Amino acid sequence: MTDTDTEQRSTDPTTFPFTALVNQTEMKRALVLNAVDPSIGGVLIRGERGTAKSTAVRALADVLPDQEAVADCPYGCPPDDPQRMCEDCRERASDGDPPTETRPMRVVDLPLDATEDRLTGTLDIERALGDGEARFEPGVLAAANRNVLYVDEVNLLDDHLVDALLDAAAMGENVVEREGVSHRHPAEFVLVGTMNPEEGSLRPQLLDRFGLVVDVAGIDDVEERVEISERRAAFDADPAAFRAAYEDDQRALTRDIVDARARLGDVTIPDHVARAIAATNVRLDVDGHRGDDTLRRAAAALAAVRGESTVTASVLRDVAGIALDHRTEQLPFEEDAVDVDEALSAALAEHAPQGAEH
Amino acid sequence: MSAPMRGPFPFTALVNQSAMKRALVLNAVDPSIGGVLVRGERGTAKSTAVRALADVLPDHEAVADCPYGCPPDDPRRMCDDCRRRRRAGESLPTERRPMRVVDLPLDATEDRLVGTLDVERALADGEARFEPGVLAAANRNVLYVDEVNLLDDHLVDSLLDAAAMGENVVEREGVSHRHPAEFVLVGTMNPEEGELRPQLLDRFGLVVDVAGIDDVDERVEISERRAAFDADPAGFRDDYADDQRALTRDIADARARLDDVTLPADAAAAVSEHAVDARVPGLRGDIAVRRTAAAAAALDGAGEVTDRHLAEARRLALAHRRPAAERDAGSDREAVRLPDDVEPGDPADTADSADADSDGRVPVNGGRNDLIADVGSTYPIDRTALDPAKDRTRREEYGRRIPSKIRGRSGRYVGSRRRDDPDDVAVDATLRAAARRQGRRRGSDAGDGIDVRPADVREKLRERTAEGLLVLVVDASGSVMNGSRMRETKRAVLSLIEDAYRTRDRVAVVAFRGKDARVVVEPTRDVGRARRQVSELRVGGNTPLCHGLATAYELVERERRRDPDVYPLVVTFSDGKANVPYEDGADPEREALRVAAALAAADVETAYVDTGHGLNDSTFSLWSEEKALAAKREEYEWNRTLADAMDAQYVPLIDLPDGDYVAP
Repeated sequence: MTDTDTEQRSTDPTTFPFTALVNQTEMKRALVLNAVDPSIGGVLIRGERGTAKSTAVRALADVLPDQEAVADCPYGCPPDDPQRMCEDCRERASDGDPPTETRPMRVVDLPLDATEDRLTGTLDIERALGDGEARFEPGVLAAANRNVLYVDEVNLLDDHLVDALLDAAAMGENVVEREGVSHRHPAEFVLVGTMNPEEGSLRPQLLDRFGLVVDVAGIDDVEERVEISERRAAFDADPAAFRAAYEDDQRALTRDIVDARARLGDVTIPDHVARAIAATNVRLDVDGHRGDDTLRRAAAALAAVRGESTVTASVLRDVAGIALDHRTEQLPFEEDAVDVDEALSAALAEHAPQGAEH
Repeated sequence: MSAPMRGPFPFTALVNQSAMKRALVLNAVDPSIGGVLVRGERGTAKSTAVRALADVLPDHEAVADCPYGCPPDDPRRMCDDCRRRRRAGESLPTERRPMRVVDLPLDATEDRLVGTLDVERALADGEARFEPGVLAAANRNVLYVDEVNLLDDHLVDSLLDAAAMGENVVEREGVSHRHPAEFVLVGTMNPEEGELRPQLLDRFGLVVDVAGIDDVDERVEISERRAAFDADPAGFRDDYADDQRALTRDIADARARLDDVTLPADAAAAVSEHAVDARVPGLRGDIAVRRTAAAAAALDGAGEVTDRHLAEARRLALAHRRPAAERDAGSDREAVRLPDDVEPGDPADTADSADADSDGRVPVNGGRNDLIADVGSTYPIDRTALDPAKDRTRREEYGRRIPSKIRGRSGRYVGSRRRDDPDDVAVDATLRAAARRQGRRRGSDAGDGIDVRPADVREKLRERTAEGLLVLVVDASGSVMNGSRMRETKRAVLSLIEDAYRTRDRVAVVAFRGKDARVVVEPTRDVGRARRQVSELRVGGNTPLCHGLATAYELVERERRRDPDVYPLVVTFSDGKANVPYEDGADPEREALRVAAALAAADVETAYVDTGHGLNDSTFSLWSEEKALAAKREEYEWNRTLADAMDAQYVPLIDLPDGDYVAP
């Protein structure tokens, strides 16, 4: 079946198929929702060792839809959206059509020991030595533009890297004023982090930057554990065959993501639901307004995935936890955390639409 | 060049947050007010508002080919070059430019902030030309620093210098240059991430605190506008185009009127009187109030500053300038000193207190042996009270994270130094060093490459924040259950743990009681765990003080072996009643002094919190007044001696919450 298909996928044969991951529904949902709407703001996956956190993130790349990009641009600018282009592309676009290509979305790794200049970009050494030109050499943030930026053990990331990362994430742009270069370029990425809470907690500023946070735990069900082990063994024995077996599922999921993206713009949030979202955040005493925005976006994305045209209470219930739980735990000192589900239920009841429905 | 990738959210579409918007607009009317600092929790549109500001600022006339955008008609505000050209009779080309918001990223290097040698020029013809940096771009514009409280000290210093002088003076790398740098400084910060250096705080004309909005309707409105903007930025901006233009016009009109606004004599007197009453140091506050009030009057179209304008100006310009002690005074102070109303103890779980009273004292609290009594909230810790005096100023300014220069490839690149065989080449600095020779090389047979000699090679100088390790040594013996010591000790310990969370220090807790001491919390950043473990700490038994100090000493030595850069601070909480010998038959007090001296010799920074001093103490309550006083004095002397032996800062526990400890 692979022979007849011309669809270009990134096919790293060492990647475990996303659709072959057993259970861990919330983690998969959070990743897929971000793929549908990157503006949700990324995912943080917290959990102990060996709970398939990294596997899931790396597997995600395989099911992400391809995208159009300016072929020779280091930032892979979108050919049709001048607002999201780098200066160079914008200039070229006004002169004519820059060359484009279809590329898979990628998961770009940020290693913990990356230096700051590798993250933000730096002076192009060869160019500088060769002809004395102070040219910008793009870094990891450039590669991450329109892709997934993945930080494993994100809680161990050095402060100076975190600061640079947050700056870029906040602005959707990387501004470099260092080492003889002054440069800015778009840096809109889906930030995905994984961490083991035993190794220490995350700085609140960084925690808040993640749209969704999922806590994963090991699976206690014996049958499921057996299933997980067997799939793993089958994959290790013959990755190609294993991947081939999931090819249909993978492609179906990709198509779902593409369809959901197309539908997303038409999903509406009824007034009473919008009010319930705001009221939930007020009840939970969530800092700032990012919680409102994230919950709205995540709910709309889930509605789109489910093929629904409006955000319903049930959709809301399915994403409220991953969107808000981490925003209610500002400091580990406040023990009387309000339960998100309770707050949501109360808010929904309070702002029920006029005239029945439940 | 610095136009945002997609247009910013319209300023006039921001819901509520009127104080923040007002402060930004007032500064736009009169940049000499001195900038705005917006403080607030995450996600309260701080950055959005600042970025949105640029759009409503009126255009200004600038010399078209000047990197500083000098004003064509004001020679006093011109760079040397423009002034020279003007004097030479040249008619300067001008253009209308929008005012811009220029970003200063946290990781900017100093050469990019202040400007540096133009490498390309130097390489091409060996000419030492100045390449303008961020301060040049900021001239006559808005300089924006997000998370300004996290900005590196070396950048803060340069920034303050320029802000104070309205000029940037550069003397480095073969260039000597100065240029005008008058900008509206705008910063945003989240106080949870640490406070701002007072010197920098004072530099901001106005400070606004923003909070999230609790009104459901307004929140829905905020989210809906955000969603509409994201869906169609251009369309959304069109919807607000009229409002935006109107605001721009208001600002331009107010500017034109500003010079004619008068400040009545009695109002001027009121400004100064009020500043004196509020104990605001210096005159910067008075000036900021006057200018802000005048700008507010101009915006209102009023010819004269009224009380209303003054009141608004004070709210924005004075609050952050009042001395810390004045600001914090209030109900908190009362709440902190609550030693007398101990709640009735839980009669259960008293097993441990059975052996509590080796010296025959009865805990007033009737066998309450769980250190975690319900004691209410923790309080902000003034760490300057705990760190040794020699570092106090430094600590006060920078917080507890101590930057240290390191070798190796991690850490922030802060500068460069000459080195023959570097493994971490600072390319920019190396090129700059080589640059000035290249002009002579051209035309010779050296080829196209750059001639870099060993003497040019520079290595990156990196700075990393030394890791802080807070070691809390807690007396959990029976005697701490005396009076309110236990409750206050616990509050202090938890407050310090909370503080460590903010400063991102690691925490370890050593507890001693009965016959031994143990590490109850191994060094960790997981302060939630530290808190839980402290909560479960049991109290009772004798006071093996030297065991506690010795255990802390070993822990610090072990951590130092692991990371020589670690910065340990050992804070001991005890009433000093050492009564368990370390070696059989020895004198516990003399031993305690010996271990204390060992800590001092190991060059560990220490603080000693006397949990007995000054607290309501039932020990003495049955004695005559003279006898109790004498005993108290003796106890104090001994604790003082112990602290001195450790070379520790001595702090009575009751003074910790206020920070204004005055050891008698």
